[in-house]
Amino acid sequence: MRALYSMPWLVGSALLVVACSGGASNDPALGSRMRIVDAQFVSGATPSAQSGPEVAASELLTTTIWPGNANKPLRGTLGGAATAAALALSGDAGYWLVPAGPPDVSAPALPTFRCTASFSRMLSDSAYTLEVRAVDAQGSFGPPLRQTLTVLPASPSRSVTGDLVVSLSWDNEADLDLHVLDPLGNEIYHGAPSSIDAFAAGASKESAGILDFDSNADCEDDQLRQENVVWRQEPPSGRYSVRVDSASLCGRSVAHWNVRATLHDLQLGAAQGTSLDSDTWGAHDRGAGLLALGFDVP
Amino acid sequence: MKLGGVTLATLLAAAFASPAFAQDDSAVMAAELARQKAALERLERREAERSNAEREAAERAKTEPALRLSGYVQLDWVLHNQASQNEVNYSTGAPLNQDRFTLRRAHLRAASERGYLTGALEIDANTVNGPQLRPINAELGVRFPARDDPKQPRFSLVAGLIRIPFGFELQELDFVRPFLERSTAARAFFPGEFDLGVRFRAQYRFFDLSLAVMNGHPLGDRSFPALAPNQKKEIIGHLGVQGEIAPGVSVAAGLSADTGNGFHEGNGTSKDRLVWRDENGDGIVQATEVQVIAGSSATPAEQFHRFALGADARFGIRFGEHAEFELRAELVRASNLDRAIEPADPVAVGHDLRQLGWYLGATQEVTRWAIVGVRYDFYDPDQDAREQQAVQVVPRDRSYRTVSFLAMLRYAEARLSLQYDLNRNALGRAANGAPTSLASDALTARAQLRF
Repeated sequence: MRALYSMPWLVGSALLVVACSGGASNDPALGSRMRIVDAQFVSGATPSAQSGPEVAASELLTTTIWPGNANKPLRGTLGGAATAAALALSGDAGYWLVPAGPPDVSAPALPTFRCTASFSRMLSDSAYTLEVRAVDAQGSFGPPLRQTLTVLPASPSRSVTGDLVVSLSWDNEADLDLHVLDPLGNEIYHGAPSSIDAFAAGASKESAGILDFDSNADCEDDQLRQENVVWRQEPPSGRYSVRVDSASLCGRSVAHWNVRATLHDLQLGAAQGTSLDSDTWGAHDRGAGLLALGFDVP
Repeated sequence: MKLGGVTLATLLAAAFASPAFAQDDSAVMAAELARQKAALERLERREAERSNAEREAAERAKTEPALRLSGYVQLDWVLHNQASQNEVNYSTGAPLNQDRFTLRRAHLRAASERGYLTGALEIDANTVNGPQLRPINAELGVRFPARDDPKQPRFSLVAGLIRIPFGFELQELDFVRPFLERSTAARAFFPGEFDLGVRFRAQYRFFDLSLAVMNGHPLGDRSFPALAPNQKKEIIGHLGVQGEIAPGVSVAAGLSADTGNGFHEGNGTSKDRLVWRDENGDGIVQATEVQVIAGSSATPAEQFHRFALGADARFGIRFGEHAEFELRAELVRASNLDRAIEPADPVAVGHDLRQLGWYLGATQEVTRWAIVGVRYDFYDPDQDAREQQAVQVVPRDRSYRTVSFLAMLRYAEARLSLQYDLNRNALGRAANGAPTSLASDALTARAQLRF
């Protein structure tokens, strides 16, 4: 019975161990602006002391990034004593540690680093500073090598320009489809991705509405999660209707979507909504989907 | 009674036949007679007790129910886990948050013993990876003799979904084990503890031998749980001894072995693919960035050999009622046997994966209401691991080490346990790029009730 009184001590000791135990962070840092695959995230700024080795060179093929930019290769050459590289993007809550790798043939005595970085969809500034520091076996950080990364508004391959643009975007792996009904009665969707067939012979292709992509089709997650119908020139005047068809939620319980229509870069209308499992029932062909937005083009 | 009567008569006759009885040794003979009488009474009493016990056992067998139901529930509350994140694992979809209530095990067991025949079915419900209901033990068998008698040799042969006979830790029932979970090595080598197969067991006095032929893919196997992708079977055995070497001092020890074949999946025929690699990072497709990845023909599956040798020992001292101290240890040397923590595939890696696991634990009863304990366990999934560190290739420590501190309160069939696991591994990176521990300490409370 007397030993029973030692239980609080045991619990106290365990709590002390809890307070003292350390270890590297498990934080995947999905909220940070820059993420590096298979690297260790460390919260806080890099140490101010600069007694460690230098970064011999940091190689970036381009100094441009854009929101949602994925798999951007980063590499460089470190000082001879370096065993790791620390990479940080300005404004982030921490930095990433990448172990040093084997030397290049061009500098056989110098270790290198190679990694791929991804950037948040929420990049808001027009430029960020990438800071690379070499770290030696004692954990001493060297002086930083800084490079400016310019932020583009969107991926060059995904830039959508036109007189009239109707966009649907959503937040997860769900397979949603954009349907746009133009004033001529043409419905543009994945089953009829262009309104050009309905035009009279000799009509310009530029004045047709065209669906650019069927994103997440058959639940194959392409990470785009956006579809656009674009008229490059002279959209027909009159009333347009936009519908959102939920083909499948692909295992998710809901999908949140946004619809936006812009004419000459001026917003004509916008709508937000949520797709539920019940929205996936029924046919997903012409005429399918819920009415999300209506607008007039003069 | 008859034997007692004959013995007494013989003694009396011999005593009175002696001419010296009356004169010289009367006192000695009287004492001897008294001693013999006492011995005879003891024999008679023991004989009567045995007869009564046999009669009671026979009556009990008549009145015993055909099916015995039992079970237990273990509910966990992870109070703190450093590995917990409010995110999901995007490859599996599993939440990374660990700080939660979990139904760890809820078992219902139905067992029947009819003469030489035995059978059991045990169902497990849990919410470890979402709600799950599964058979965990389903066996049928024969035994000889029909009734357990520790003084006689006993043999049994069971088949079905049965417990893997390797080491001591795997045999210890979940509701008996003081520590919340088995050691890391046991969870790596024998995940789920049950596999399909046949087991022969022979017990005599302090010897206990088990031999089993099994599929080699236990319930917790990460690749083919409770299935068998290859024909070859796994052969597993355990030879143990157990006994009390002095009043209150017990010792148990055993040797185990396991040999079998693992399975490396082949590939199906793949199609040609066009891949765009944005070499210059400008986000625009250039002709030089589009590459053809030619399809390839199918590759066959391969098998690889795996084995394990183990030794286990326990030592207990009873200082008094409800004051037992127990020391337990187990050591396993294995090759390519990891099936859960870091599944071993020497075909993919290019070399055999040598594994080592051991633990040392101690528990102390503190009155009838409490137990405290501590356990250190070690597991290395690849003792030959190497990695590139700057310009050198250096050995890499990939071991998992855990110190568990346990405090348990118990009352009748109920338990309330609190365990802190101090976890050390080599999954993180230190500032110098070297492997370091990824924070994953955990404090867990468990409530258990048996019925």
